[in-house]
Amino acid sequence: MEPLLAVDDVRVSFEKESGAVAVLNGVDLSVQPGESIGIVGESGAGKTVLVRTILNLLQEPWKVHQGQIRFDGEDLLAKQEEELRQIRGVKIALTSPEPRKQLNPLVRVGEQLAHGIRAHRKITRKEALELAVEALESVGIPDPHLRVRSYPHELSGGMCQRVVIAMALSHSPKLLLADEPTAGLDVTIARQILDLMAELVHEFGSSLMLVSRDMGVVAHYCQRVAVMYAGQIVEVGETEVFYGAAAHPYSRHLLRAARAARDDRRAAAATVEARAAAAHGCAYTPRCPVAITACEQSTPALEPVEDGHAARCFRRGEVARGEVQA
Amino acid sequence: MTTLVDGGGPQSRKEAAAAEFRNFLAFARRRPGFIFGLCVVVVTVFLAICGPYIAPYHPERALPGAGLQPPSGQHWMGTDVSGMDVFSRVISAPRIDLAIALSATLIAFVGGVLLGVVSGFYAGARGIPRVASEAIMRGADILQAFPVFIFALALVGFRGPGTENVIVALAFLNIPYFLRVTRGAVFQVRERPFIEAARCAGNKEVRIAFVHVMPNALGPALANVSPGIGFAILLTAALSFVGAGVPKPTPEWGSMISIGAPNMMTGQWWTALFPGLALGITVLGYALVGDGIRDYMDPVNRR
Amino acid sequence: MRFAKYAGRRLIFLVPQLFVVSIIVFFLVRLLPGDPAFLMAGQFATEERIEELRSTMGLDQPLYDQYARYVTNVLQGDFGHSWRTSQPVIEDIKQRLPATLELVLLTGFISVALGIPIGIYTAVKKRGIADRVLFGYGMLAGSIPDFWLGLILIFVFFSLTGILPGPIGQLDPIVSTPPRITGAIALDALLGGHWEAFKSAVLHLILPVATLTLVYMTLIIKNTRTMVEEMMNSDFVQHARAMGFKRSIQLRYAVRNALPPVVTVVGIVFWFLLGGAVLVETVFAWGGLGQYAVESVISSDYAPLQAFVLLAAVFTLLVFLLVDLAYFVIDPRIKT
Repeated sequence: MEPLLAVDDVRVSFEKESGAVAVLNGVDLSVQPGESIGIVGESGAGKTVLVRTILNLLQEPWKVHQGQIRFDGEDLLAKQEEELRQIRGVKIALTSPEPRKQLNPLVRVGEQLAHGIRAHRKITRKEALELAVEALESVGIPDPHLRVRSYPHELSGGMCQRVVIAMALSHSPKLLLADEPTAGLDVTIARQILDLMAELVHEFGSSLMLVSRDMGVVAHYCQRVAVMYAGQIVEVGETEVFYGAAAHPYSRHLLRAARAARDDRRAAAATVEARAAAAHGCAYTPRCPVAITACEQSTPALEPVEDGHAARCFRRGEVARGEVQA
Repeated sequence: MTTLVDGGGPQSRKEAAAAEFRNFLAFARRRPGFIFGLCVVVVTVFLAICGPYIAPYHPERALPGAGLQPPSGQHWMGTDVSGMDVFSRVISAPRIDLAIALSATLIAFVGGVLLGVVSGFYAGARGIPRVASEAIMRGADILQAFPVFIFALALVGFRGPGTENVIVALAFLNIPYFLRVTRGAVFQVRERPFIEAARCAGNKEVRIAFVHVMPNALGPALANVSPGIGFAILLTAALSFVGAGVPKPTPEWGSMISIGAPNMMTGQWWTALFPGLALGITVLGYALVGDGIRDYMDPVNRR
Repeated sequence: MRFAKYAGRRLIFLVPQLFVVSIIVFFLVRLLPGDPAFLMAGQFATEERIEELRSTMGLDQPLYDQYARYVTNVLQGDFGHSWRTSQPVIEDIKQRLPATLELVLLTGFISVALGIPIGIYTAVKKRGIADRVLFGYGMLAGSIPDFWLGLILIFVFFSLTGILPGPIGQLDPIVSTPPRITGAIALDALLGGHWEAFKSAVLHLILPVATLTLVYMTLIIKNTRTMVEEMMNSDFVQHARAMGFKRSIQLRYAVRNALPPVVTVVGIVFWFLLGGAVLVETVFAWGGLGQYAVESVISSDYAPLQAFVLLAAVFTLLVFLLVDLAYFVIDPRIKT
């Protein structure tokens, strides 16, 4: 099947006066129509930058050096801003962490929804406002006809995220990019938001790319999982396969940390301290418990472990089978 | 990256100073405005010291029968209505302008920093210190309810024109600016761990405020000194222009512009043009130095 | 309703501010080196006049009593007597205030009407020629003395080319002053339909207004530009962009959110303008309050000077009161 979205060897850097910092180091990823894929990885791995690159949103000092992003048969990175505008919000929609910051603080939420609707449909303001009420209703906001007149600061964080979701789904997009939709929300609210999102995405037959740091959330809502580390996808596979037989040492580390966090709340604090190593070998080498000499000399490619399951590791087979303790 | 200096022996300290200096040069090289500003400062300081000695004519002596001559080889910037050489007066003026601006700014700096430390360090404290802190801020608020130039004019008006009164007025008016930036810096410094350490070591609060906090909170106030001087020069000139500042015929840019004002209507542009240019360039130069220093101290802009 | 409540609270806040301001202005007279009554009465005062002043000021009474007298007088519109014009100060002020307000308000409005669009334009169109020109202008305008710029403009547009009238006040001497309605001559001429006077008044307004605008508009341009740029990069504008909002709506979001801080700067510009007007009025012999204040300083006429400082402070407090009220209207997040 032709994938809906195909990200091919995308490289992005942050240009500073003192030199460029590579943030995406050749990302390969594909999303099938109607599937839900989770992107996991620690902060700084490049998850948000990947999301913004897919929408071709990056501006100076960011720079896309290389790669291709094909969506629905079109090359997104080659498009002009006005052409992109016809895709953004219509075919690909986005939700971001900290929903309150995503809404204009000085404009009523109903107006903002109407602006989003009228950006892509030729209807009157009044009609758009009526649709906004319906949109609020569909994301489970009580008294939607009153709430359209609220300002963002009058809504709770969870409510704001519902508004953002309503806006994102108002044109039934083919792909929803959900960047940490539950960051900063209460656990119970977070559940509700995710359930709502999954339900609506299913209803529209959209694909979902769910970016999260929470392995449990991804396991529950996604059919496939992709792990990011230091600007690369280091492993990708079916959720069940991945959780049973993760083939990259870093994935194993994440799973272990998630389990530990669940057990005794001792979340393993980890930072990407070894960026420099990426120049020659595998970026994970300095932190890897099963690294071998080859790891320092060259970067492994994203190669299959078995059908539909791939990892960027020389020892992926051994790790997946649990022959080495990674 | 900032170089970490360990030990702190004389050798490494010297090296650190040298590295800092190289850093500074590299920084300045990328900023032509900053270089221009530094040149202006050097030239004005030089003229303040030597101006009257290198001037081709006496800056306060009228040449008989030589009134309102246009610029020529003899009088580079022409002569004014009473026959005084404009060029000699323009290069002699920094002496009084800089003297006033420097002393006013220094007084304002000292007063503003001391008050800023007190008001910042004791903000949110209890009892009398808090009252003092609040009182200082409200005082600054009220002082700024008066438009700057009008308040200066009033102070000089009631005390009578003259150099000392101009200095007092300008110093007084500039205190709130130094106060506010220092207070802001104190808020940052007082949360730093070494202040807690000093407290644990049994230092008295007053000592902590002035020995430990103050030296680390001077940056923003220091960055304000140069533009403060520029602003004070501008105000001095404005006061002298309306006749409430430095009395004539002392060479001063503002009063020279005032002497030249009637000539502008009859076409003798040189009498007011040159002192105004000198004044504008000087104010711009000092402001640019201030911008440069502020950028240099901000680690984000350093690279 | 919310607005009325907020405005009411804010107005009450004005009372203590006015109180402190009046104390400071009251004490200005104490700065005088010597006997205030003697000095305030002026050089040509008779012994009786000095005695009279001494008793009105209550100089033999305790300080708080003197202050009470001062406040009572001011509240009744009695700011004392100018020995230079031999008129009550309040009369002099009534006569001159409209001319100054005309200058300050006209400059303020033009600076806002031009400065905000220019600031928005340069924020959106970075790196054009317009941007470079404005960068240079912004740098220079902050350093150019306004009184000197006025003289340069006079030289170019009056002595050199003769396009505009010289610095001789608000009207040509041969044109008769229109009947007083508001006191601002251009406005009075317009209202009364005196076209010749109107034309002359407008021509005389051009140079002083241009001087002040050139010097003070840059503050508005710079701040608008910075704020709009900042808002264009804000999360919500970038989110609007990510959702494919029209470019015009994205810009509207940015401008709308840049507005509150710009309003504050507009207030500051008015605050500066009053000081600038003093100098520019002197250059153009404008005959307003600013020139009156300068003449009072030079001739040691203290009562008018004291009144002028008080008015300047009240003007400032009112400007910042309006800023707060405007802020309240345009930002729904402010609580009552």
